[in-house]
Amino acid sequence: MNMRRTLYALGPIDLRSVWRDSMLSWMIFLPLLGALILRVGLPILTVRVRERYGFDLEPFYPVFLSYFFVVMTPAIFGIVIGFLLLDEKDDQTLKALQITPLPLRNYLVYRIALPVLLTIGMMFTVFPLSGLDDLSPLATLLVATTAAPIAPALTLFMATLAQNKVQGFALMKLIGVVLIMPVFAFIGIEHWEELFMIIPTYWPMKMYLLLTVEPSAAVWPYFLVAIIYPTVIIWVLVRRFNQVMVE
Amino acid sequence: MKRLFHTIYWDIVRQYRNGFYLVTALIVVLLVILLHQLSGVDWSLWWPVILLETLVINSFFFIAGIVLLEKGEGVLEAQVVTPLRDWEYLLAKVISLYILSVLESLALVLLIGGPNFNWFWMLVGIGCFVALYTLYGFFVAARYDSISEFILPSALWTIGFSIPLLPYFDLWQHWILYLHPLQAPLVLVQAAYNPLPVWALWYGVLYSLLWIGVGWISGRRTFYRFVITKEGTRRRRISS
Repeated sequence: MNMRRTLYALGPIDLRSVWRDSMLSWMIFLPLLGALILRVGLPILTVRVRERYGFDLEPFYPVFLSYFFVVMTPAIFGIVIGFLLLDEKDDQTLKALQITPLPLRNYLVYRIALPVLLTIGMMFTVFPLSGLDDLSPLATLLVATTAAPIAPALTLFMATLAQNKVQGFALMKLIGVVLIMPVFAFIGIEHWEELFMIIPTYWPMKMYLLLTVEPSAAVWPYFLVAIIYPTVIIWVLVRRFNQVMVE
Repeated sequence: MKRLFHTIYWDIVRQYRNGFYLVTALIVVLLVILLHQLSGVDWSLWWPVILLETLVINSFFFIAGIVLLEKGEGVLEAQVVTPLRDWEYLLAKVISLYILSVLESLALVLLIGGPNFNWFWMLVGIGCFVALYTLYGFFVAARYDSISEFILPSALWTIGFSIPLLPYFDLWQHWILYLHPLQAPLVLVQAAYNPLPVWALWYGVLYSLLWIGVGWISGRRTFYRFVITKEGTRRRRISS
């Protein structure tokens, strides 16, 4: 069963479900809401923090945006689809799929394609909507391309490591802390920056930060690592996912 | 009473087996190493904020995962015909998640900020946070059949939970914020670091108890409606 047939088989079912169930609209709505909150709230917050604590937030805008948009948008999509797979694992849907002509790998590709496409689309929406930076279309495309693999990597991380949805929540908590760690590399622990390179989301964040400082910066090394690193993780996890399901 | 202790014990065992304690230990180690690198931060100012945000996951989201899994596996239905009462079920969940949260919070507070705080108000404040989040987490999650239905509406609840943080950044100061249920435990954790007037302490305790009471009654009603009579339960879908 090739991908086209997978799409024909599952597409109409999903479309009907999306119509019935609000998950997809929520997934689109949340990052847009976040962008609007930042657009309105961040300038006001900057003024207040300056008055109250004598601290200037403005130099940290790029770090905020790299965290909230480049990392959190695909992370939310990835975690939601991860939970969707855990739901399907818990209620034996994935086991049932194994006796259909649909190969599990195709099903998985189909499941993780949506957050990838949504992430790319969102990157072109949330940055202009927030009105807080002026990335060129080419730079936005680079950022979107590096943000996209974060979603499937997290989906697979949850679906392969968690045995059920309760463990999914425990992992979600851990993911939350690990993803915020590179932010500290950029705002106060610069001497440890090399250590944070082990976290896959460090690379797209770093690339975005370099592009905001210098639009023509040579970001290709970061771009390549930001693509290859999560791709390797995804490849390893897909193999593991199939093993877990066969057991 | 024996039945309640037995239930609490097994709740803790299940939480341990599902990695809650392992993940908590990892997070504590990571955060302690990370936050120790930041110099010149007045932690006493930030603990109420940090606890308000971290305990959401420990209580609101963890109870949701537990309830939805138990619902899906038929464990909750099975419990209806055991002698275990609905209030014992809820209380065991609150107490077991409180133990996890106290261990995590105290480890962070002690290792990062040091022991200079009032233990009584700290423990009471964490208790009120956990009780509120857990009871309302049950109230919300029991209405759904799957995480994918629950996870995104829960984001709006989480935004709502964060409203008492607005005065911290001078974004909004208004007496009406004192009507927010989480303002009360926030005041109690503040009392662990700064002496507060007596009226503020009374407000923190009594207003927390009021909303815990509302959550308790709502939780028991939710148990009856969505677990026992299975009102609103939809047929499971193949996909979302």
